[in-house]
Amino acid sequence: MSLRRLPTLTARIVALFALTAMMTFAGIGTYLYQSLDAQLKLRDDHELLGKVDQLRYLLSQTPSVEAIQKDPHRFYDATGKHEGLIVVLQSSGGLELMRSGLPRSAVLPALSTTPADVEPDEEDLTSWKLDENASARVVAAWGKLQDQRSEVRIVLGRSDAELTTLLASYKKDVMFSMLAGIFLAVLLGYLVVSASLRPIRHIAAQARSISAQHLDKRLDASAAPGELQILVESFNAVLNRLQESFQRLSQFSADLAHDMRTPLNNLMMQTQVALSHPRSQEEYQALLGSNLEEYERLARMVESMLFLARADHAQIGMDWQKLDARNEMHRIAEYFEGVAEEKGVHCKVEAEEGVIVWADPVLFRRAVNNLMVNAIRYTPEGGTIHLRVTPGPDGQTISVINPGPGIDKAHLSRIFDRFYRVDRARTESASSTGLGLAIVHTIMKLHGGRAAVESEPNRFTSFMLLFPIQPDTVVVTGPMANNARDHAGVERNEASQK
Amino acid sequence: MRILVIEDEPKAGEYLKKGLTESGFVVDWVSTGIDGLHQAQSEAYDLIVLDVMLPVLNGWKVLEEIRKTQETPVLFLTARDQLEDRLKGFDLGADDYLVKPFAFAELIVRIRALLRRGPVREADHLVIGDLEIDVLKRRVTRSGIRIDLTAREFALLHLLAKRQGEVLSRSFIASNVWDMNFDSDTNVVDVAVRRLRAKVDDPYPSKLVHTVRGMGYLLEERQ
Repeated sequence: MSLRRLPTLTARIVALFALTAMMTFAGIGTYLYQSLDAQLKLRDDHELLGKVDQLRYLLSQTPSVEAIQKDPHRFYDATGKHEGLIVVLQSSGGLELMRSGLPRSAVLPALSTTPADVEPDEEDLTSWKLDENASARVVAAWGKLQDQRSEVRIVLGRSDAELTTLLASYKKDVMFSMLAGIFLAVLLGYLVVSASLRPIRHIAAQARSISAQHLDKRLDASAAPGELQILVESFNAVLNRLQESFQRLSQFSADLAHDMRTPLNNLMMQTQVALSHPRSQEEYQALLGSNLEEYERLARMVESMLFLARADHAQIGMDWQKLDARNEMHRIAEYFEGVAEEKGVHCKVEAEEGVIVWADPVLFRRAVNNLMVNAIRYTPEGGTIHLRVTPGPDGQTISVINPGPGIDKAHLSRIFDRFYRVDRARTESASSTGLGLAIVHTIMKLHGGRAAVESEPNRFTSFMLLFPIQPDTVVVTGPMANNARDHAGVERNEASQK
Repeated sequence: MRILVIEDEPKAGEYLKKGLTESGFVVDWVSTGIDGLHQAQSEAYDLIVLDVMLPVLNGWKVLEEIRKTQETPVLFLTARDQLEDRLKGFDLGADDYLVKPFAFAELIVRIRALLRRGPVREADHLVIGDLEIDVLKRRVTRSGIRIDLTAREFALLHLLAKRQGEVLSRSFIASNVWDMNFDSDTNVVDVAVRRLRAKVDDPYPSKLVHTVRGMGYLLEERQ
């Protein structure tokens, strides 16, 4: 993904760069062109008006109209022989005395003629279209001859052909430098952008080298520019979480394989041994019975794992109910009464009346049941297990406290992990799945609460379940929604007969 | 009572047939959905046990077809324990379900329950051999001698007596006596039955509570 996006980003920035450059250059170029155009035209106009003065002066030095006709070159020269300059002199009678820069056939436009004693200014200039490509600025003024009486009409004009050529070449220059500028901007932009984006490419390369086998690798946040630091840090945080889950998952798979191996091994061995010689019917029955115990253990394990997997994917519909905590504790104590008595262990419920716990009853009982199974297993003969309900500001705490060997501090943090066993050798492997406390932990998570443990070696172990006062989850009541209630179906059938 | 078993897995089918036959049912077993549907439509059964995961014509389709013409109770078996699956089953008209793996005793209990459906008045006086249970007065006597039971012991005995002759699984007992609706790693039920026996059976020569290894317990008079 990052690989595919990188050039896009570069292209985008370079394109924006080019667009900006183009607009800037075009703006400046247009401005320069127009101001040059205006200035040149203004200069030409002034020059033209200046030449009117010059011609008037020459006329004042000329004795007669005939003298003009005799020597028109004097007037040509006086105009400075500018290319495109149009000079026409006419007598007051309308007779053309001289014509220069204009073909004979061309008819002069009608022009208002400035009187001899008035200086013509820009206002008196008129544009006159010569042909398709060229036009001229023209001015007409009267000039007096030497005798101060006879007047000659001066028509001065200037074709803008030269100016147009000049401006066209200037335009070309501007366009060329604009294109060159854009090209340079794109090139520089590309170089600058790809240099600035190099850290991203670097990070991408680092990220590419991270795989399931190398989940411990992290992106180097110090090498990233400030803007990318947040990204790198969040990416690293994702990696941390992934690595943790990944490790837990692979540990879980390894434990699972190991824990399934034990019952499978029992099954295979005892069946193989039994089949190696003919046996009595009782022996076969004993074998089948023993096999069945292992099957049931495997089935329980699968059921527990499905439960955990489903809880992980939040696929368990909760049947929230208000439970009377004291009633529930008594129910559990009663359930374990027989087993406890056989072991010489007492159960004591310590709960005030009327304490309400918001919970799914099946899950609630399952959690406390799992704690009780452990409590009874580890309580020495004559000991007392306390089932305590403690209301608190955050919610109600259900504690199962039993005297006994306790749990070493080193194990406490991992005690709720799947398949984690404090002492693998000592656990009665035939009855335990190693998932009991993991299920308790998961059930508490489903309730938005938590499970905690405290223990003092050789004194006591205390498991605490905190149920929040008001579950923030939507209160769902309805048909049973998880496998933990499989047997509820039996109950229904039973009920239907009553 | 005739039961049709539709199950493609040969071992499962064979043992279902064997087990159900030994429990007193007349069983036909077919291994495909098409055969199953044909059989169900051409012969009269009291109940159909239907595996959902069948090749070609799956269990849902079979159930749908069957429901078009008849109301025979259907209990479906599934290995996929998803809520949607179960709801789908009930939607299509199934009467009950079991998730594989299940205890055989559980299957029998459910089949019997389905076959018994309808208003059944519960007896308030039960007699098994010389054991008498007065449900209303919560009194138990054997050979005329009063036996004192705790409330839960009475509930357990009452459950076994109501279902006399039927094997009840541990989870069924836990569910019905203590309302513990989940599989547990404990032997609570075994201990409870042992304690009940100590009061009801041990002092007497003929035993009424019997253990069926690996399946559960049943109450019956045996000669």
